[in-house]
Amino acid sequence: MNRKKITLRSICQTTGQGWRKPCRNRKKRTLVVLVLTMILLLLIILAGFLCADKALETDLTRASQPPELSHPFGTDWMGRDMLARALKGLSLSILIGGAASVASGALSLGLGIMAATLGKKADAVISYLIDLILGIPHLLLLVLISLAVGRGLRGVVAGIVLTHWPSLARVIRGEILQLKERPYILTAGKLGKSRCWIALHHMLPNVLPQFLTGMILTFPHAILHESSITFLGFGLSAEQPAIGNILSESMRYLIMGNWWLAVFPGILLVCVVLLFQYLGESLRRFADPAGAHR
Amino acid sequence: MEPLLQIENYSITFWQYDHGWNRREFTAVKDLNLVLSAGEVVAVVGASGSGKSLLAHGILGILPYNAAMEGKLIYRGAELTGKRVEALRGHEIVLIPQSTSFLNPLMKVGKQILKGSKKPDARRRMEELFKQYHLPEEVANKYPFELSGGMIRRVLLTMAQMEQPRLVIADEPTPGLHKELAAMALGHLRELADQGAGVLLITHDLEQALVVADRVVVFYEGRTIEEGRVEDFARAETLKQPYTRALWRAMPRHGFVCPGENEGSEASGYGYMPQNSGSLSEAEHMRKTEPVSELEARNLTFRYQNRQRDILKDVCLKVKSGEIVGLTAPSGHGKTTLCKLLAGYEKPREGQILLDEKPLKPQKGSHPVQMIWQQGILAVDPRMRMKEILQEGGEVQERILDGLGIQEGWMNRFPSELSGGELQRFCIARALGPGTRFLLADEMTAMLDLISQCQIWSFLIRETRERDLGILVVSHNTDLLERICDRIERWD
Repeated sequence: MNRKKITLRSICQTTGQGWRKPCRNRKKRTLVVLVLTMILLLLIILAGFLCADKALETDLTRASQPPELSHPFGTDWMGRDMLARALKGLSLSILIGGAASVASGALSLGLGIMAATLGKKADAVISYLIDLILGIPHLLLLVLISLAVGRGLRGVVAGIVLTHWPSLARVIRGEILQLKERPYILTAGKLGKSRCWIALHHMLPNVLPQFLTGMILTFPHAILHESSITFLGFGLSAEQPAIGNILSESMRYLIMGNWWLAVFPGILLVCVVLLFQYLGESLRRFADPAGAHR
Repeated sequence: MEPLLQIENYSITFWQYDHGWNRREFTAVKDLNLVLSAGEVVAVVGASGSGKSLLAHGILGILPYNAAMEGKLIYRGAELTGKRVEALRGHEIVLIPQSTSFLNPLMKVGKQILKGSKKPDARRRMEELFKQYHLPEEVANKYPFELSGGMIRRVLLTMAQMEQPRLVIADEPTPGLHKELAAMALGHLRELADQGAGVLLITHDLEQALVVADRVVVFYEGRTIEEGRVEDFARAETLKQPYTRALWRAMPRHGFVCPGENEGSEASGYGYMPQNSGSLSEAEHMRKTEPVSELEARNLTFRYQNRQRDILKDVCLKVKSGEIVGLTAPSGHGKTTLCKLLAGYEKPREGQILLDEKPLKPQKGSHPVQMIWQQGILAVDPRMRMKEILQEGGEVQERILDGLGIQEGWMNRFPSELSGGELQRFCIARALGPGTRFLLADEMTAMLDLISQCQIWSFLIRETRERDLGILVVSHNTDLLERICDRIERWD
């Protein structure tokens, strides 16, 4: 078959009489977004480390100053630089989010595969567990687990890990149940391949895109939940400048007109969450086999 | 007379991701010109993967998102734009789709045929058509998964005839139907044409095309290489192209001769023919040995879960090694189910499957009875390359690859980059591991063009004789069965 290298122009030229016609190479765009996101995250984490001391440095002579050139995000009531605090808080949030989403992803992959392959009893137990956890309000469970484990960093991570796995586990379970009945999987069994071989070579590659996408999409969730339980006072301790802490402390000063305390860290948090959301969405779109060539 | 549909300089281009991040495009249909008049049946014949179905989808404006078309489609004097085809399709322009997956799995069949209309006229018309196609009335109240492949075909045929269409595009309307029903379906197409509609019949089966068509267009790699009236196809000598002649000779009626047998040099200009495929007649003359083993189904009864009726009842069947047994039955009689039972994919409710008088139990290692699925694309992992797929069955001998005409260049491709015929060769090669003693071919070649069929079968017949393999061939194509089988079982 006649194959030639495609250029943007050659596709757009073939545009006919109003027939659908995408023009951009989505795979490349996704790759660019992925790389940019990674760089940005690394920068934030790095900045967080560099600002660690500055974030705790108090100077009452410059307390509660609105944003200016030397303090772009302003300062709080103890004269701490809000930019440094926000960056430090964000890097903490990202680390917590990353650890929590990887751990809950691993948990859901394991449980999802077990539910689908270990037979009816295991499936019933795991499905019940999924329903149980999904049935309890997220935030309530998170607060309870965090308190039980002993608050602080450990409590937050444990809480997030234990509350975020069920939906992904359910997706993976369903996917594998479907895969199990596919002719090519059945045929591989009849050709003498062991269950293990089939799981590794046929099932895993086929659920991997869904898994990765699901994991990346739990990331923003985890960050938001970390912030919200810290905001509610059940999460990180007050000396750790997590975004949730910053926001909850700022509440007291908002009525005094110190708007910058909440606005800038809040916007930064929203930006990072959106970035992940977009990344996960574009990954999901091209993991979808129906759109593999877009 | 004004032509109904004119296709001018028509091309379809695809773009796909290569390995990695680059996108490439390739042209599947090239510079096609075709004229269809009202009252005419034009058959488009070609190998699988030659772009026939794309043509149908292009006319209807339902190409996949990664395809683009160029050229002109003129329908009844005006250009067929995206908007116009949207208004016309389903009413004036109808498609009889190729794949049975074109029905909504979650909607009852009757509702889909009536398209939601509650008029008594429409209902009457549907019942009339059901009667014509020997479909029981309760089919209207069933979901697509409850029907057999052949029944779904008939439902699709019914659907196309609910209104008075002017242009009918029939994309492989008959595989899976037994002979009388297929003939009847083609007869209906002819009737539609006689009533003034134009019919574009897309098929891999030259034989069918010759029965109903007025003109035949031969497609090869997205181009028309020959166009002629049906009369021209009466003798091979009047055909211009070697490919057409090869297709003609491969018809079971004309001897089922594989290319390369009598005209090796002439056809070698085309890339499609493996030179060492051997001949069918030669294979048939090989000695038949005494059978060394036997596969037996004894009083099999089977019922799918949550179903009221036994699909198989008290079925007995024997296949000896070195023997090719044909099995033919009307659709919906559980032929595929029998294959699944024999190959161990399902367990019978009652009865036994015996290999050499011993019950066949699930075991470690490769199963001695291998089944080849009707649609090769479902039987391979879409994310694997062909060489990995081959290795699932262990190391495949060079001899088998050669015999099936599998080319080195196909090894690095993904399943979606091969045609149905090419894919099916891989499935057969994979199933022919050293442990395999019986092969079940469930309509294995029904979707393939005659030349591929011929090559595959001549190889398998030789293999049967040499290796004492036993083959059960399930097919509606009785011509094929009579040509290749030692014995044919007919269920009524």
